[in-house]
Amino acid sequence: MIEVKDLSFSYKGRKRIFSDFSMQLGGGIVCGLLGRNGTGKSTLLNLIAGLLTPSAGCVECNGVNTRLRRCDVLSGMFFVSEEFSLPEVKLSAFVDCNAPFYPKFSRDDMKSYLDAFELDSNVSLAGLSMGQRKKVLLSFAFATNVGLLLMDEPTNGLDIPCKGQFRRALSMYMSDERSVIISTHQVMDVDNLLDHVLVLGNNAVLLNETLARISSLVSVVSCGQVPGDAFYSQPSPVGYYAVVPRKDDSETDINIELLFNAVISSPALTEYIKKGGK
Amino acid sequence: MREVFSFRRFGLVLYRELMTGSGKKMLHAILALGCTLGVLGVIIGAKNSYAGINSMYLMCYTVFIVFAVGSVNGVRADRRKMTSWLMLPATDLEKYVSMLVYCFIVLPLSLLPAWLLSEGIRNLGRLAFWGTGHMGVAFPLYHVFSMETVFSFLFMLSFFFLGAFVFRRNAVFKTALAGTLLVILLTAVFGLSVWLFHSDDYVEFSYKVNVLFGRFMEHVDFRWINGGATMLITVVNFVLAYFRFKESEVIHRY
Repeated sequence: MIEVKDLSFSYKGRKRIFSDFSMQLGGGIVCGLLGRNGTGKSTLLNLIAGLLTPSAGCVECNGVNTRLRRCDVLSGMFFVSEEFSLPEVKLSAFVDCNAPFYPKFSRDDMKSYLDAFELDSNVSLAGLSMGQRKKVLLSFAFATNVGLLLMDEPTNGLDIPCKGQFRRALSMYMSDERSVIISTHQVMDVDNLLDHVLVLGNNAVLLNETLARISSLVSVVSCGQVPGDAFYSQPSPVGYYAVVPRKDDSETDINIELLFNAVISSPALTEYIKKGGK
Repeated sequence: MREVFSFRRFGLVLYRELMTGSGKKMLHAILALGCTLGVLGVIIGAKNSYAGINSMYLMCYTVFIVFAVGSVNGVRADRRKMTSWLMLPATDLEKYVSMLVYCFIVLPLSLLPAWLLSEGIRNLGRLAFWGTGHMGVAFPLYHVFSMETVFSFLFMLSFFFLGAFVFRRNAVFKTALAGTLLVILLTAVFGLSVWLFHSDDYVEFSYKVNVLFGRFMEHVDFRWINGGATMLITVVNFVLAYFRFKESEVIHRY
């Protein structure tokens, strides 16, 4: 479990990004980390991974401060950063050098993920394109079978068919003991996979909730005219999509992109969700 | 009990570094160094002279080692490589010791194949130009190898090693510049203080200092003081570098 306790952080000479920020994320979830440019999504992932030192507070993974960069914590997490570097060696050499650090690494799983991404396991990393290198890194990340996967824009650079392959690979990886935090602008790529949403903005957490709870409190309706009690609306081909308080027992699918636009536009919506619909 | 240092993991880190990190670049550098020195040895050595070759070899090896040690953290000036390095599941001590071993054991040992290559090329060149009567082996360490020299060399390298963790980019030049400025500053402060306090009797003061120092040196072996001081400072540099490394982040704040 990830626990962020009273976290404060700012880059030198710039405005504070986080100020007394606290949150908890349990196990067995796929959490979408959303926010506008510059709100601190990548920074939060770096802080969770222990790659940055907070000005105050700490981030704990299963009760251990991640900034200590303890070996047992690092072997239980893997960070797929947006920009990454792979050595110019054969894939087999890369796996031989890095797999021993992850006790749960499985070569069979690696082969399965490479097959899912339609990659040959006997390739040289030097001759691969950016997208192919991303697929290799994702395959290795999934094959480590770590308890926490941190991903920063994982679908950047992937072609359209590969995004479906990514969703399948992520589904293969997930279990009750594993958690994934995905920072992304391409919410459509991971829409059906998320079960928890964390929205950052205005130096604060605007929303930190499970999709199940959100859909129990609000509905997304398609209508010709904007309802009076709508928190947010945007034009659609048939009129408007609106986010309104849920009035009956029928659940509607929550469009993540619409939810994100509603959260950053409507403080009333975030208050309504925080207060449990009261 | 939490394991602070595992020889197995340390070995894995070092193996990873050699196979996928700096190892390939080092191999290319060793080959280039050996070939260059071999060719230079043919040109400078000419027909009979060995004197210039040993000095040239020693100077080139020293420069190579200084740059290699000073650049040990430079590969991680790249944020992407730094992320991969910091996220590697090994303790900070294991990663640090692997860099120490790389700089002070692997790199010096790697000069052996460079020396063999350079001697091979040099002797082939001499054979081609002047015949078998002018072949021979130049071994630069023969004239300078002693414990004092090794300690002094280690002392100097420790500053560049520390500098690699203080200055992530262009560490060698910044360390050399910082060291030069420090020496100039200390010399200026000492000289100025002596001049200010003893300007009237500067010659007499200098004489007294020399006499006192001479009497002191009659009772001690300067080699032990020198060796002890250099080893102490070397160890301090390594410890400071370790704590600087522990503070490393994916961004360079300083």
